[in-house]
Amino acid sequence: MLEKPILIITASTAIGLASSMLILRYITRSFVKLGISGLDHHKPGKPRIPEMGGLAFVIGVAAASMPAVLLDFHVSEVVGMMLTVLATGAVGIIDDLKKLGAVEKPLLTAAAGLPLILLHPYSGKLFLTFGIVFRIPLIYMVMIPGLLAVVSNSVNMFDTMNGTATGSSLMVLTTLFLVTVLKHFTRGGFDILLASLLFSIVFPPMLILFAYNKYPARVFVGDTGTLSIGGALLAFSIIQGCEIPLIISLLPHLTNGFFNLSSVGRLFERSELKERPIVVSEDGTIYANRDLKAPITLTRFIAALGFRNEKEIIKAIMILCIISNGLTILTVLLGLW
Amino acid sequence: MSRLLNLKPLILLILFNYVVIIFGSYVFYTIQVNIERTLRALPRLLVGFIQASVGLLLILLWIFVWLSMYKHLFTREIRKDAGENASSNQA
Repeated sequence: MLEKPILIITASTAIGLASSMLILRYITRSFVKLGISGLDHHKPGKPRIPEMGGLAFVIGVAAASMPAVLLDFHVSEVVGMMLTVLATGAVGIIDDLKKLGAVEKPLLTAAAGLPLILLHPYSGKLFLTFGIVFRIPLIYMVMIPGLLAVVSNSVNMFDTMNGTATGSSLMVLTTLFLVTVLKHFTRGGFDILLASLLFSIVFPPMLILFAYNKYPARVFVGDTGTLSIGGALLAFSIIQGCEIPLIISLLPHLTNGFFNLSSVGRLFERSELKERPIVVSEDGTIYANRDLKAPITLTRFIAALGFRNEKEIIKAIMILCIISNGLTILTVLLGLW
Repeated sequence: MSRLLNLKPLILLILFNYVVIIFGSYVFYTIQVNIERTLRALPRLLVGFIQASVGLLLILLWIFVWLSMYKHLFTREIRKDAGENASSNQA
């Protein structure tokens, strides 16, 4: 009875690992020569690093979805997640190659929510804390594009230092999976096989991407990576019905994104900013910019708290993510959600 | 450990939002239910409009407090940071 799911989960994990690893090896060898690269501004000497490493994640997720699709196992959920990742990844590719405008990007990422709406692999109920459930199928459907734009762009704005977007997203995904497992064993009702399948499709490519993107980065994930990772996280939480755990886990991302926007006063692209949030000296020491016009990002706040180099700031960001993900697990353990 | 203590303002912000998410949704739900019960005699559309307006007001209030806290904490830290840098430069 369990043979088929276990076979599919194992095959998805292996395919996801192998395909993303192969693509990342190709990207690290060829993309700088092809001119698809960027400077690592936070390091002395500003080394040139290949961009668009997120392609490995997008292709890895698509390849890892195939066993479930071919063997007809939770097809609508798997295809819903795969198409969301592909659609957000496509927006990221366009943005990486031909910079999208500050308004176009969130609008296009919102439109990438269409596959989820059409395939409808969710219950349409919003599970709040203390067992409160809102049955809002129509409002929920309308909320999906907005949530996708918020989550994808929050992950995108969190990609300020080596491995911050990929590392924090790995934590969020693992936390969401643990939440589903905990809920399954404490109260039932959560499909643990479906959660394991979706986790086995997304986790391996994300892990490989993190291994290449962590400090010191061998590859930048680009908007291709950050937007598609955001898409995967949202699709996972919508299919599993764990939106509140997602919001708690993403508190550092949401805080960063929200205050970026509120301090600039409008939607913006990083390249449009005249004042950078942080100042990097020749030896790699980082200072918070004291200009009032500079956006109040999380990185600038952390630099103002006395964290003076890239490694220290990355550690500080990861500590904040550990705290928010810990709070998510605590909420479930205490039975608050 | 001392590094963790340096992050106090940001941890405080995360905890504030956590409390709002956990208890806020319960408060939100209770207010909505009470509005519906109290205004039962009024037309359904009007009650829905009042519920939506109150909901929006609560969310805006949350965002306002969140924004004010963040700005206050950030301004305090950036002043402290500037003071520390100035004194280290003098030394």
